[in-house]
Amino acid sequence: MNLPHIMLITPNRKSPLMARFYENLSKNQLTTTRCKKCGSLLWPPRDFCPKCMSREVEVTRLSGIGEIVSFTEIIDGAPAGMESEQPYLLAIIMLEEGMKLLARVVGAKYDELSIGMKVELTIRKLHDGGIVMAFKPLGR
Amino acid sequence: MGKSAVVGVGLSKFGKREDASLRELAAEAVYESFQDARDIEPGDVEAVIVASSQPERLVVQSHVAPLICEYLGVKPSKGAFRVESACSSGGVALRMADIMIRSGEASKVLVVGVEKMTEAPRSEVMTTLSIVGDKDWESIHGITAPAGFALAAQRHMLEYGTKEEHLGLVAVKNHANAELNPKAMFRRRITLNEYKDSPPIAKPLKLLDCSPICDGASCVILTDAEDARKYNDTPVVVKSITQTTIGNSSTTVDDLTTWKPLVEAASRAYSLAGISPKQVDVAEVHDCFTIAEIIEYEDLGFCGKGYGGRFVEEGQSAIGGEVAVNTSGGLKAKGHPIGATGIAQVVEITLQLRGEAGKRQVSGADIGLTHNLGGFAVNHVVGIYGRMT
Ligand SMILES: [Zn+2]
Repeated sequence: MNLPHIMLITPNRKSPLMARFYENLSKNQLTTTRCKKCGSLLWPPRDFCPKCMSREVEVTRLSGIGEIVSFTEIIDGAPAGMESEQPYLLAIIMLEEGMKLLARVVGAKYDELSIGMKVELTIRKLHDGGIVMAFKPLGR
Repeated sequence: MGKSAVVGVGLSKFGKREDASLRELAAEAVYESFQDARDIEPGDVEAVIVASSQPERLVVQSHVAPLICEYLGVKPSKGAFRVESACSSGGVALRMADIMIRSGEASKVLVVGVEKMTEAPRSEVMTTLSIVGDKDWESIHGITAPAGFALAAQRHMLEYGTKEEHLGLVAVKNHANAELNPKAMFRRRITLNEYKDSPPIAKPLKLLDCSPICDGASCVILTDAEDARKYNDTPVVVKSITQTTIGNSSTTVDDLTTWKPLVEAASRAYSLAGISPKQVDVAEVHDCFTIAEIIEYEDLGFCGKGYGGRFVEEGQSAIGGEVAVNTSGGLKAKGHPIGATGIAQVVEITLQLRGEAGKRQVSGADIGLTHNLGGFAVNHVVGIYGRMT
């Protein structure tokens, strides 16, 4: 008997909101939602506006460019299914539009990263075969 | 409104406890707390609150509050329930117990914290800790608990010149304290060189920056302060317990090096207790990773912003310093069985305020503080305690 006894971490990609995010990401586009009533830019994407409680939101594209606020390299202790990817780089990135997110940085070494460094959107494969967002040094 | 008071405390031995199941660990702490109090038995408590973070994943058991009640043989007339607030579960459980007592809903509440973390396979435990953050937006990228705090360390080093040695000195101090605590997981000193040579986990954090995967349980019996002397000669009064919550991501705190929700929770706790930070004699703070303790010195007002590294370097947080921090050994060396931690902190503060902390006793300790943190510094509980006068 060979039962998969450990559940792997995978994102929700099925709700219309998330499905749209991942469909755009597959075209290398980072998108989120904006409130049509008060204009607030929402991150992560939401189907309502916490500022004015409007449900009228529209999908909007972000530049996908930002800078590193802080970063680390994970050597040990990764969640199930990600152990073989160690070491990997994680960074908090401040997008040009002013929102912060966390993602992996690929195509660079730990010693090459610095706070304030510019990065841009890319895509990487998750252990379940689907895609997730990642970032790489700008122009590399 | 009245106050609540601690009349009994108990702690299981912390460590890899293959000899005890979840309920047995809980009972070990509960048993000790009823030995500590007098003229009160488990059957007298009106409510039972259990803090446990992820027993479903770690030992494949849910509904643990009623489960523990049954094992203890108690049927609390005002009910039993579990509190989950990740690493701050214990702090929140105490806050709920204090509220139940002050509101008049119950006059005797049993607060139990328990976690058994060493039973599940390691990768399962790592997943369990990673999903405390936001699964859809952060865990999928492989964030781990040390990684979240490494991000804060990186900024603190850049902005304030905090050095690897400063982080190391927190670990060295807490291990030295744990050597004096019979209940601690790591009862041994470490040297700064040992710290420096420990393997990297999430850069710049190393193995000896991290609190361990650990089994353990803790217990506090809380009663109406007016009746407290019936159950203990030296009750400890809850002066205030506050909590703030701001979200659930590593990117939620605006500033990685000043945890505003902690500053707010602390400021409200000091004001409700009518004291200033300088009056705190002994504190148990959430040193899940060494950098956290350094930021907490600052945000709790023990020293100025950016001076946390120097504070530990000058010995100000050691026993005999300005404020003795983590005399129990802290999460780092006593151990960090998630749900048990916030309540274990109050166990240590109670022993210190009663003058019963043995070789690690802080002389003349009048005011004690606890700080319990959940998630990536997004959830904070601050408590202030004093001897009953
Ligand atoms: Zn709006």
